[in-house]
Amino acid sequence: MDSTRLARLSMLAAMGIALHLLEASLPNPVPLPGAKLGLANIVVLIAVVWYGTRDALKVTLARCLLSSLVIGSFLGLAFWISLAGGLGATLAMGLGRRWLGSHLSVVGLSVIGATAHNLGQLGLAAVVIGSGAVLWYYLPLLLAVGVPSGLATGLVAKALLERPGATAAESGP
Amino acid sequence: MLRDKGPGFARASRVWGLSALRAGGRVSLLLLALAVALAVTGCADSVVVATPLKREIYALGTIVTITAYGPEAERALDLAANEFRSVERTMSRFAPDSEVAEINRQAGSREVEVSPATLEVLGLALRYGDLSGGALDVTVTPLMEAWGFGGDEHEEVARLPSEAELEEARALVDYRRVEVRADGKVFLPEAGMALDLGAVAKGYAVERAAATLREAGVRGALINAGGTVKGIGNRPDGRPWRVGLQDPLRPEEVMNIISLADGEAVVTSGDYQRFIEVDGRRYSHIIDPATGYPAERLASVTIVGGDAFVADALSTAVFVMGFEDGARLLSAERGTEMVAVTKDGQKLTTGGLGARLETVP
Amino acid sequence: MSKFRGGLRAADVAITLAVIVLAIGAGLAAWLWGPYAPSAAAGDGRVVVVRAEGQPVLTVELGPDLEIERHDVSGPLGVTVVEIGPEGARILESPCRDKICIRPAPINNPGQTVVCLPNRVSVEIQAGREPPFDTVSY
Repeated sequence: MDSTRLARLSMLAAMGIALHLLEASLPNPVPLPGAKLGLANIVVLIAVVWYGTRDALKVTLARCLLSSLVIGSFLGLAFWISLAGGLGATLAMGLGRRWLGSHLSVVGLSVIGATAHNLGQLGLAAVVIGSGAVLWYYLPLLLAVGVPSGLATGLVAKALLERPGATAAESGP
Repeated sequence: MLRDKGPGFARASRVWGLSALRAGGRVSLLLLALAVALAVTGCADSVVVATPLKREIYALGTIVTITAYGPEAERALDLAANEFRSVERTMSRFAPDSEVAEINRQAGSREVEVSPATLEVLGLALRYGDLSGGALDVTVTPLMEAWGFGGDEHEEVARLPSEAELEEARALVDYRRVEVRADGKVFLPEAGMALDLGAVAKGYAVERAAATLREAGVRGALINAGGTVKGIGNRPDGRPWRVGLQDPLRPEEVMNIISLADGEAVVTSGDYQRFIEVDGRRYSHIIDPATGYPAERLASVTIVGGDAFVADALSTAVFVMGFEDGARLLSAERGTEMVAVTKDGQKLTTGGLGARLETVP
Repeated sequence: MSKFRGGLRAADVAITLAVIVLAIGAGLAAWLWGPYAPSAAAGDGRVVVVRAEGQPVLTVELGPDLEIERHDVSGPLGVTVVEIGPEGARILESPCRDKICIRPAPINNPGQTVVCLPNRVSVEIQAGREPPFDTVSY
């Protein structure tokens, strides 16, 4: 891996951790299990656009691992849940970019990512609770909540990606 | 910034607004706003649904449960409950001021004036006395008393009457001797004779209550007066009312379920309802007037038909007559069928009733 | 590819709308058959199932004569207090940080769930087994 890539990925991971910690320290505006703003997805989006799925997954892993160490929830429930959501979102966004990248802008990818994120968390929550009925009840709400948060993070990521000189050769369709 | 989902959202909504206008007007924008609003505000917790109201009263010597739903249900239930109380007040031989009690008191001495309702009930009971060849006999009271089936269940003395006692009682039992005068007065010619309308009063009261409910505008209701059941309309969810039929041989179990048509009634007579037990043998409260002994041809019979009043009379008659004679009696009745269970558990049905008996899941 | 103002593409709009439609669809499905369905709500014999770590630890049948009772459920963070009464069930106290599980309104319809994820406690309403008949002719 060339040093620029390494440096960039590390920085993205660091930003991801920062955003994750920021989000974790704020009161939850939406009282649903598994619903999150997903600010860290901004960073994952950028990683996906710049370097593709595999590297984005590395960023996500690093982000989840390290932020859980900082928070103190390493290997705890919160860790697994955020990992489930994060990996799901990253995969969804990465694959989305690979298959639909010519049609979707970052915003669309972000909506996919937010949806996958919430679904992943809900799925794990259902397993933890031990009941499938939870899915029935929370699914429509989580799907709906994913839209605005996806749009929001997507637009932010888009704005960042399009800053002149920021991405030059690495960004693109 | 995070609370209103960020500046990106504001930008997005501006963009949305424009693209929506391009796509075809404010309608799509409105739909989008609606979708978001729906998502964010959440769904209502409860849905206003027709919840049935249940009323339970003690009347006619048994527990009467009336279930009804709809806006008029509350008021209608009051009226229906009153019907039961009214029948009890007028026709129960245990109510001291009832017309029947007065008739019984005046047996052998005076005729008694009665209300049209009592005349109607007595008239039908006497008619079925004829149709059943005397199996249903409203004057069977002395025999019942001889067997210990007096008023209060708790006072029943479990002993067998002697032949002499039965002879004496049987002499006072004959429905054909009841005199219903042209002016509507009723006379029992011999002291010691007594009317008991218990075999038909519940059915009559159920029909009156049902009529009252319908008049009050109730679209769906279920009445159960001590096992005498009648349904109006359907359950709130549109499915028919389902009535379980008690297994006479296994006390706590239901042997079949039957789904009611609008207005259909189900009435059961069984040897397990009221009985005395002497030396391990069970004696039911339904006496065969011909023998003076409790009827023992069947363990139970259930009549299904459109009129609870008629079904009530038939159930007692058939219980005494047995399945074959009972089936003959039923063949003259329109739209009425039965299922009878013999003492050894054999189930016998008439007409299409067999096909209607559903198994219990 | 047609571009909208702000750089959004048709596919973005399509995806967003698709998710929204999915959400509405799931909501409708829940309305018709799932937890929000009126027939489920009107049932008798509804049961509260309280789980800790995915295992049922307490089952209580709901009814109008039920007396309000508090139940302590232990989880990794401590004790979550579940209150069950004639109005339904709710979480009264919990050692989690966000306390999103603590809400004033009790749940009482089948499919509704209140969860304290950090403490692994869930409270769920299950539809009772509806009796196969409405009354008995005895």
